[in-house]
Amino acid sequence: MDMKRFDMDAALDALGREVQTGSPRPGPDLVARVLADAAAVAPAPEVQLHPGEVRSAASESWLDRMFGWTGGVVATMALCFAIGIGVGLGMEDGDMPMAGAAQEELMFAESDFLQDEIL
Amino acid sequence: MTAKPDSGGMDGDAVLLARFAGGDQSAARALTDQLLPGALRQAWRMLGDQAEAEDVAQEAMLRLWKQAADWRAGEAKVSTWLYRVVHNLCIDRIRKRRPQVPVEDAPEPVDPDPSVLERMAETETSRAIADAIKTLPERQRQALILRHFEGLSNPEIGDALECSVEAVESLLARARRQLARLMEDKKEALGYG
Repeated sequence: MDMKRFDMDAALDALGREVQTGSPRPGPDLVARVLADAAAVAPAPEVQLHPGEVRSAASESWLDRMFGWTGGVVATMALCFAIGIGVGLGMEDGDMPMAGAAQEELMFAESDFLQDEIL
Repeated sequence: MTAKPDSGGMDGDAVLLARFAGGDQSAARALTDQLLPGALRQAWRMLGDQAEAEDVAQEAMLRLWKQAADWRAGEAKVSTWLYRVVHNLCIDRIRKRRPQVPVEDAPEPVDPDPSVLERMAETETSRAIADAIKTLPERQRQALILRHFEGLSNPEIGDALECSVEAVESLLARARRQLARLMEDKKEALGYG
């Protein structure tokens, strides 16, 4: 029988190749899980804002901090109402002649209508 | 061992990790392609169970993503750092398989699952070598596997096993001497002179 010479390093490398070939490879499911983990952990990419966008974002943040959008609407309506009351109380008779004339016309219109109903 | 992208002498994986830390998701894909097969192979070799090996590989990669922002390039190669993480995770799982032994009393697992090597060996010679590797002390076996199965250099093995290059050389030399002794009796039966 023709005897071969035993080479330890060659035998180890051959076994290493066999193990590498026979080992499981990552399937698409495992790769997807790993990439999902990476996406969950990843820091948000840095975004460059223009100066206008920065100002807008800052003012939105201030309003949001104060009221949120619904609170903002209610507060604005209340402010308008208070201004209206304040202006009304400060007015003298005759400050709004057009408004006085309109009131008289309305009174005549009501009396005409009542008379038609009665007759 | 997988090839690393050219990065001007730097650890290519570390460059990719820095890109990932900067928000580049394509770097995560590249790192996964690069490192996941080796992590899975190592876990499978130690645990002998594919589902468990996949869980360990995923957990090790998750630790890598979390480490990305704090990674200090130049201290360790990413691949050897990952090897250590996979190794420790596998050891934890092997210990949990033996609940009857208190953890503090449990010895370091000497022989995680070397039978995997025998299962993968295709020739009589390979089976004989795998059988001999089983009998090596764990550190010698690890050094031998990293050198011949994963293609790591001695400094990389030193990083992975947290010992000096001289210690790695010593581990490899003792492992080879022990294997040569064990194979001496089998050579004739295997057709070697």
